Amino acid sequence: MGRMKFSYGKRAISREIKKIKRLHGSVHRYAAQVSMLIDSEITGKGRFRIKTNSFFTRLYPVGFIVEFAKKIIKSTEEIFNTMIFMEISADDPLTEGKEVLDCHISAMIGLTGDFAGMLSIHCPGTVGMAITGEMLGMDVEEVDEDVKDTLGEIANMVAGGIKQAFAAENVRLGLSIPTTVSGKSYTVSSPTKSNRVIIPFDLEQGRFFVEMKYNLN
Amino acid sequence: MDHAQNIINSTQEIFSSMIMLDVTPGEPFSREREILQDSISGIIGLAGTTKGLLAIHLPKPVALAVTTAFLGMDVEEIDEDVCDAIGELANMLGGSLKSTLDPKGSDIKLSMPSAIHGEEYSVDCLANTENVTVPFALEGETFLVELQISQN
Repeated sequence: MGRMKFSYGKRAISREIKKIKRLHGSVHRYAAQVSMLIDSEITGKGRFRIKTNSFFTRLYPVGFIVEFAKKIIKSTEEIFNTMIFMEISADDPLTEGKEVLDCHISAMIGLTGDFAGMLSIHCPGTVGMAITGEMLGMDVEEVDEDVKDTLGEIANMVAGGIKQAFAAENVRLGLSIPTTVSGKSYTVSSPTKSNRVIIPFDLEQGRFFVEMKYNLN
Repeated sequence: MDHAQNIINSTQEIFSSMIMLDVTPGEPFSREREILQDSISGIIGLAGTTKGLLAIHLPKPVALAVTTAFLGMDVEEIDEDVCDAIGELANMLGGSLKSTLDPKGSDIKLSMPSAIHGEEYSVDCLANTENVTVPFALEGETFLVELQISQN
């Protein structure tokens, strides 16, 4: 058990870090409230290494997930503040839970390089339409091509921000092309052995989620 | 580069060597944004000198048959094992295609695979990508292998 200071925006959060079993990426279910969890392996080792191409090994502190969460939040907030001009606020990260997330559009983009991952943005149709309307400056009444393209583009930009944040620490990443999944009923799963962190963001029209699944080798 | 032929080679190789099932390729086409019914899709991203996405879309009965053959155990519903197997299938196809697109092995890297399943959903890519989809017949059913390559 340790205490980790975790701050973003104007808020500073200090919370207990719990030891848990290795996180499993299973079906897409989240709890309404989950405290911040740390991969037990990482906690056990104390530090985590990522080998980079530049003969340089970066040591990550105990709360790698916290580091990850910070980067996701920073990048997402930046994109929304500077490109879409919408106010969003991040909530506590989730890792896994029991409630089925009611989402109708997901935009995903693969990350490769020093570690492999996938970034997804999940949102209900209404939130997707609101974001698209704001970004394109027009009324959007249904989940159409514009909404899918916009969310794909946002996923691309958020992943780009995360890539830059890691590049500053000598961890090199590459991005694939974004894809959107939409429909009345679908579930997104990641490999059982992967880790995931999910950040909920609130805006006026509702809530959306930014999820990062990753594999540390 | 003939992506359709690469897809056919990789898919046949993976299915015959890893899953021990024979698949017959059909006529390649360019998939529009259509809705998938009661299916499962495995997707994996490619990044590096070539950016793209590889997806395999299987109707539920085909996915169950493939998983049964792949894992050597009976599966009746789409569960964690099926999702993992289809994700792994996408990973293997991605790896095989990567080696044809990039014989030196250092220019293209694969992201983590992901599986999507549901009763009604669509998987779309952003515009300006080159899309090649090859249908494959497996015991009377059809599944699709789709490759999207960014054109810049």
